[in-house]
Amino acid sequence: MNMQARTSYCGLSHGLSSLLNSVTSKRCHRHVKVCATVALLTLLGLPARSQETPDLTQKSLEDLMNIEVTSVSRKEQKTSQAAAAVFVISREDIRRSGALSIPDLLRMVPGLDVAQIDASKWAITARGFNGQYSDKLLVLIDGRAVYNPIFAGVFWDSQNVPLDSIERIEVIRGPGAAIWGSNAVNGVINIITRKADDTQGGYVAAGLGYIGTGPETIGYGGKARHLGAFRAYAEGFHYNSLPTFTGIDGRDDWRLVHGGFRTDSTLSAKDSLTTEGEVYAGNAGEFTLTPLSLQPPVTATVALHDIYSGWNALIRWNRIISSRSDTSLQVYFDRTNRGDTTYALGLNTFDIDFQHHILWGTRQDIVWGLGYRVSSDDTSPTLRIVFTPNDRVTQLFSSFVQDEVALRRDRLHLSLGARVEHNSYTGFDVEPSARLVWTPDSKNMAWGAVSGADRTPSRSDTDIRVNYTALPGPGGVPVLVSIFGNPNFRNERLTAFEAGYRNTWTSRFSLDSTIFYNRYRDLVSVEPGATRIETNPAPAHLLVPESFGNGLHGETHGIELFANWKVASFWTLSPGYSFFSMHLHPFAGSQDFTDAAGTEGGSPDHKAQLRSSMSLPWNLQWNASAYFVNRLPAVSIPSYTRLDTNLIWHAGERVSISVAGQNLLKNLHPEYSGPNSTVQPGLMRRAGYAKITWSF
Amino acid sequence: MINSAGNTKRRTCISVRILALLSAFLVASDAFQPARAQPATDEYKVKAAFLFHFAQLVDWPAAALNATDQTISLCVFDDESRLQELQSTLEGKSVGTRTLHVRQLSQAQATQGCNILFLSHDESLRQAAVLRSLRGQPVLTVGETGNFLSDGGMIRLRLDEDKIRFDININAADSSRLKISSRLLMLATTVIRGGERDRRK
Repeated sequence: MNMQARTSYCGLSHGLSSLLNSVTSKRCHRHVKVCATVALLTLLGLPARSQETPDLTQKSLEDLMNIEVTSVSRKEQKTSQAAAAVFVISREDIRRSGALSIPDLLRMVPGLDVAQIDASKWAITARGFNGQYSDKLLVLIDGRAVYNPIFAGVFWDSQNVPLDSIERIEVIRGPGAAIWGSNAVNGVINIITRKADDTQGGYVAAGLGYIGTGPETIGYGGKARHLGAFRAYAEGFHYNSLPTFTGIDGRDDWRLVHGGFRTDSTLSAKDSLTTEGEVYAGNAGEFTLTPLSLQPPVTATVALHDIYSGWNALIRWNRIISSRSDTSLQVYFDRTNRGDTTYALGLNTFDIDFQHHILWGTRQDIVWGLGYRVSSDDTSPTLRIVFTPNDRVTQLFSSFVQDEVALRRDRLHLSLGARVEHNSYTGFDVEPSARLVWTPDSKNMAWGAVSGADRTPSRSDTDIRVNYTALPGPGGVPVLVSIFGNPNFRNERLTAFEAGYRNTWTSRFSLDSTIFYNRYRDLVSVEPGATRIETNPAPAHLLVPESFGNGLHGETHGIELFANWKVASFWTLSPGYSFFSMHLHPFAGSQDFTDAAGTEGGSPDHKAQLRSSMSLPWNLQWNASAYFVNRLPAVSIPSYTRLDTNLIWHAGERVSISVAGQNLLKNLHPEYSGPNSTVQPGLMRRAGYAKITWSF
Repeated sequence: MINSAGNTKRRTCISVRILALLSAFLVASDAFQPARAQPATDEYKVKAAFLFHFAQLVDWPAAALNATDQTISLCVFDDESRLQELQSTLEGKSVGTRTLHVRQLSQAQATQGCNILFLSHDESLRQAAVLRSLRGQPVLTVGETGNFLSDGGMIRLRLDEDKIRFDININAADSSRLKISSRLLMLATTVIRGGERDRRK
């Protein structure tokens, strides 16, 4: 539910404002500070003499404009102080990544599982349970939830933001439900676009490569008299299909056009207004195993063509009441349509959120909020997928409060929060969280958290019927194998224990580590039902039913490590490693003895990455990223190492040209396949790509 | 504990200061920062030097400057960390026949007597209100936030790939009878003039 970055910090970054206050406090006498500065420099191994900074006022303005500066911006400090496993992809990271899509960008986040399924589909999650519809990861774009309440997951193919207009992407591994609401069970991805004031002027980008064409982007930002700053953009691309395991063309080429706008206006000294909107249309193919007819019973892998479109609009009003109190009110509407010959759905979402942030006394930083969301969908029954009822309206009422208390200022901060929700499926739901941050000194920071988070049911858990397979049975009677939603499906529940430690050994080397232990209850299981004769759909056939249950429970644990090493002033290396282990068990009474193994083996146990970023002479930048992902035994994906690299040339202030290579080590390897995806996976190709951007 | 209260306080201060500085280094070495071509300098030291040049390249109306004490007052709100950088770089520097004096304003204090007002990111909450109260007053306003110029500020300092750039709202300066030299206008990335926007670079 959180509306903007700032409020997210309120929730997740513990004690930062108090920290900032202390940094700027007047308690310190100046000579003490000077002593401290000298002490620090000694600490850093610099000779004290070098500290005598030259008198910068003697330099000309032109020289000053060429000096590179370090900035202690609030944002970055906040991230480094957050009591959660947070990773921020900055604008610079985006520029240097060579990525063409948001999922490709997310690969750089240590501990996040990103696996491409085919040209337009990805399986993305944190801390296990990956799948085409990863139902435990909440994704927001500028405060708009893009988690689909029908299939419980994110359609990544319809979440496109021109990468150059992204300010940053905050990725939180671990539960964020106390702030962000249900379904933020294993992680939250918050995509934040740039303010219109920061994207003034024109922008044109074009790309071409073995991967496909685009994205071709055109954007313009300006200021209008009554509107304030605005920008508008249009973008389109066509990515080529990938081959499948069997060597044939996957027919999964992906086309998309979208356009949108953002305005940021100042209404008064205290009020500011942001509006955003987007419209998109796209289509992508896939091969899927689906029943084609019941009489005669035919099931085959066929090429489907998914067509989708939608639009959304958001308005957010921020009001500053005083320097210690501010509110925001956000309303959005989102329309999604999509379908192929095996399913069709339309979804309207209306959401309104209010938040109030207040500094109370000298030690407390409080955020509370109220929210309401109504989703109404319309689905069309097909031979493969039927929702009962076809159309449904669901409502979500939510409220939350979070209080961040400085137990010992600059040393120990506690944040307590809880969210209470009421949803149409399971009623009331409470998701609490407690986080503690300890900063014993300036080089070390440790945090720990205990939180509860729930994955609430979606339409596909309760109302769906999927006819998987139609096959000829004994005596020529058609047999239909189907899975049914369970109207009594309960929340999947998590209790998470996390701890993290950040250390800045030297100015050149920093380390971020997290360990976690998660306990899950009431996880989804697939329970067999009694075989019976069914007459509808005609003709009469033998039905082999299965239905969803809450029959599994289990534990996961893991370690996530990330370091940043400035080898030299022009070269940075960022290694990362994560270990993950999952053990699921059926509850007594559950007859699901297969899904546990499938889910356990669907996430890699070891992952490692190394990113290198180097500034070269002649305005060149060379970046390379290697990602090792261990095998996925349950889905027969062998381990692989992915190597991506790019070279960027800034030809003057306005033009940059880049060439990139993807999957350089191994041509034609898969990254993901079932069980939580019905799609024939594509094989990742070695590919090259060139891009030119021009700003004016 | 044998520490006297003063000692504790002092130690707290030292570590606070270290924390502040180290965060600068930490951020510099963090994932969020690009590799640098040369050793970086603290942002606010450089920004202070920019302010010095602004003081030189802007002409105030004669009545605006204090005739008796021959100073130019640079005011900054209750902001210890910035204040120190500004004072150490600027205090007592001569600008023409005058000397620069860095003055700290408390939260509620009026901006009377200020010739230059620097509003950092930290002041974003009150920025619009402060700028409105100064409309038409001969005070050179320098700020940092994205909507500083649209709020009526005159010069916005910003970071572009770790280098400092500035934009000028010449309308605001004109209405306050401040004359900004053409040299400064030439070096600005963007100049807002008569409702339209010049992008030079």
